[in-house]
Amino acid sequence: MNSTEDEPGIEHQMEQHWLNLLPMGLCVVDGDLKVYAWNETLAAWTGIAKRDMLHANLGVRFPRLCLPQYLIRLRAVLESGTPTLFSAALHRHLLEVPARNGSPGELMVQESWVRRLSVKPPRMLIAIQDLTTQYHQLWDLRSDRQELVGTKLQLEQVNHSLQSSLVMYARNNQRLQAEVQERTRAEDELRRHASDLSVAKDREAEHTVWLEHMVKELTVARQQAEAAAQTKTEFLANMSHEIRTPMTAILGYVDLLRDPEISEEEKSQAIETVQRNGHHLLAIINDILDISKIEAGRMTLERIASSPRQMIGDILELMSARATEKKLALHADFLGPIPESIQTDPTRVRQILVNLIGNALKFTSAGSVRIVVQLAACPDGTPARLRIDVLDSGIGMTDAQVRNLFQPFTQADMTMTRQYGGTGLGLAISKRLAKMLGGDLTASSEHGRGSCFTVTLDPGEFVIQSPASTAPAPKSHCGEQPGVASQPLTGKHILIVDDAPDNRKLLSYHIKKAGGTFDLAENGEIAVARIRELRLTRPYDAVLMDMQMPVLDGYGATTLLREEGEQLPIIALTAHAMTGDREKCLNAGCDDFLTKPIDRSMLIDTLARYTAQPTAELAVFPR
Amino acid sequence: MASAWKLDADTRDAVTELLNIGVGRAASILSELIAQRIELNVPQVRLFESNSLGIELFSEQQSPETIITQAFEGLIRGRTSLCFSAASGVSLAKLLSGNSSADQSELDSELTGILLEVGNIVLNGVMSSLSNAMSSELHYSLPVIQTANRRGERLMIDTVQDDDALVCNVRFRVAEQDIEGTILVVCAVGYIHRMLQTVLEPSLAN
Repeated sequence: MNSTEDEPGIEHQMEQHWLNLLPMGLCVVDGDLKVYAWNETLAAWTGIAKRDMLHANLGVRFPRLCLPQYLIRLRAVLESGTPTLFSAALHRHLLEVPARNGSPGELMVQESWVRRLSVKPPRMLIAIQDLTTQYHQLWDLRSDRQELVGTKLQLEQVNHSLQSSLVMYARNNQRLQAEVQERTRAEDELRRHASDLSVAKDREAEHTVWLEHMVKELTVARQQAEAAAQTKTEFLANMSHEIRTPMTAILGYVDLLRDPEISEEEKSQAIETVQRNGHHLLAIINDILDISKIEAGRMTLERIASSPRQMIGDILELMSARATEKKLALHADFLGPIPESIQTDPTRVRQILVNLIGNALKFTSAGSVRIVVQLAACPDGTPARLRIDVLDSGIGMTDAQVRNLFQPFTQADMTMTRQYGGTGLGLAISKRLAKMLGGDLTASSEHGRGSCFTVTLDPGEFVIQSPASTAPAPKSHCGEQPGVASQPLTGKHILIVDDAPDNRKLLSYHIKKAGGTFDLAENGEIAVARIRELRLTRPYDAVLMDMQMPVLDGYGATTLLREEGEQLPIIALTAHAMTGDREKCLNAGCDDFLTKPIDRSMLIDTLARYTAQPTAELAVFPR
Repeated sequence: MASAWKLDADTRDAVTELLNIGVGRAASILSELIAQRIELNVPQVRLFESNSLGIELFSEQQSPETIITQAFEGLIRGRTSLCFSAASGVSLAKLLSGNSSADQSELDSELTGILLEVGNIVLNGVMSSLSNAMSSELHYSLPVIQTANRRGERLMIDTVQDDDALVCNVRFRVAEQDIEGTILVVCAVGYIHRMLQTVLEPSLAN
């Protein structure tokens, strides 16, 4: 579009109209920036009227346009005809004019186009657009956007923080839960421990009670042991005394007997004293051995068929001499059905009854001693017992004496022992034996009136027969002398086999006194030879065979003789009184046995019995 | 109207050389503007028929999202365009504005204005070379900017009315920035012959 001020016309008017109508700053300049058109908008923006700008140099009013980066581009528009843009972003403005609605001092933001209008003359149109408001809005938007971005960042940070907090919270929560669980577990464990502790405390309390009880029991046991030890010490002291006393008498009177000037009467007394003390000493030793065996649990009992009537009869016969001496009646009564045979140990029954009857005779000065035998049924349904009562009309006992009766070696008992004799062990042994025989031994008494000792025995399996039994009724011995033959061995020839010269001498003396004759042998070998030698001419009536001998002992000799068919009675002499030894003797072939030291009367009785009948008809009496 | 003129090897070479000069100048100007080194690829020249409604010069992955176009007419008729991806456009604009804000990832009016001026300067450089070479005046339109809309429509390069189009495109890269772009020159084929005659054989132009 070409326009000059020298051609005003309709076209020029229209140009002016359009130039002023457009809401942009418009001006036309040449290559030197001389102004050829200046619209009303530009006049209003710059405050420079058109008449003042026409033909003026734009570069003078606005020196910025003369800078190379602007001048080169402006001239290039004229030269090449290419339009050029000066953006608001890069330049802010082309002409420095105040912003219309901005703050004081603020310049207008402009976007400017420059276009060639003509080549000849060279004219270019500068069109300037006010972008101030838009840029304000843009800046506000950017500010808001930045604020939003900032807020967004903050929110993101807060969110991140929150997330972290949530994670931490979750972690803490987990940790807390774990802690709670741990605490609960610890509490449970504590409770368990407390419970265990309580249990342990209870146990401890129980244990303490038990310990206290044990202490008490141990104290009692210690006291009992001390008492028992004391008792045993007393016993040993007593026994020592009891043993030494007869030994002293024995040795003393033996010394007396050695005196060549002793009178016959004194000699007789001495012999009697020695004999009496010897028997007493033997009884003491036997009792000590018995009580020791019982206490040690080594006492063995046999259980064989035994006739109660026979046992009582034998005992009465044994004790009758003593009863006769004291002019006391001694008899036995059998009440009700009595078993013909019971299962028991007759030796021990005899021992008990000898002790009881012996005590009764000892402590009775006048009157009688009565034995009552019966089968007693037990009210509680336990099997029946054989009951034997020994009643006397003697001195009786006080209650205190009865209470301590069966204890060995008590003071009261020893007093009585010293006064009346005895070992002090008899009743203790008898009670223990009674218990071992399945029964018991009890006592009742009235001081000054008499006593009753009751022994019960377990009879085992038994059969009741009519009172008219095959066993002979026991004899009542009242004031009768024992039926001892004055010469029970008259015409009997006995072989005495013993390796001890003193024993041989003693036995020969007894046989001679009993009216018999004898031969002596030192050992089994000699004995066998002698028996063989005289078998056909003058056979022996019996043999007294010591079982413990050198060269050939009694067992060997007896066995040899029996193997040869020798049937003469062989009576074993043994120092061992145990049941096994007896069996051993009997198994070897002996007919009977006597225990050393040999009782003279028993010796003579036995020999008389075995030599009184033909050998084949002799019965073996269990002892 | 369909042109019977053929793009032979010689013609291609001549046009390429011509445009290369222009593009080289444009790259130089851009390099000065941003004070960074520009790397240029070898220009590609192709012929497109007139019945194409738009020119699909890019693959889908390379489709530009910001295009500044300036039309020209005179001895030759056509358009020049400066093409960027959205990211490259924003990066270039921010580079020139000194705005290093990382949170601005879209073109606003300010950044659009910057790209328009940059495009104008660059494309003026291309056209002034052509114009100088032809010693003939050309008339230019004001540059316009197109940005891909939110619906992801692909931007097209308009053809030049009923004529076949000769298209020259050069890819460039700002060496130390993540900025890539394409310079396009679209000429109506019928005019090329006259241009070449003018440029290469002044005696034949009469």
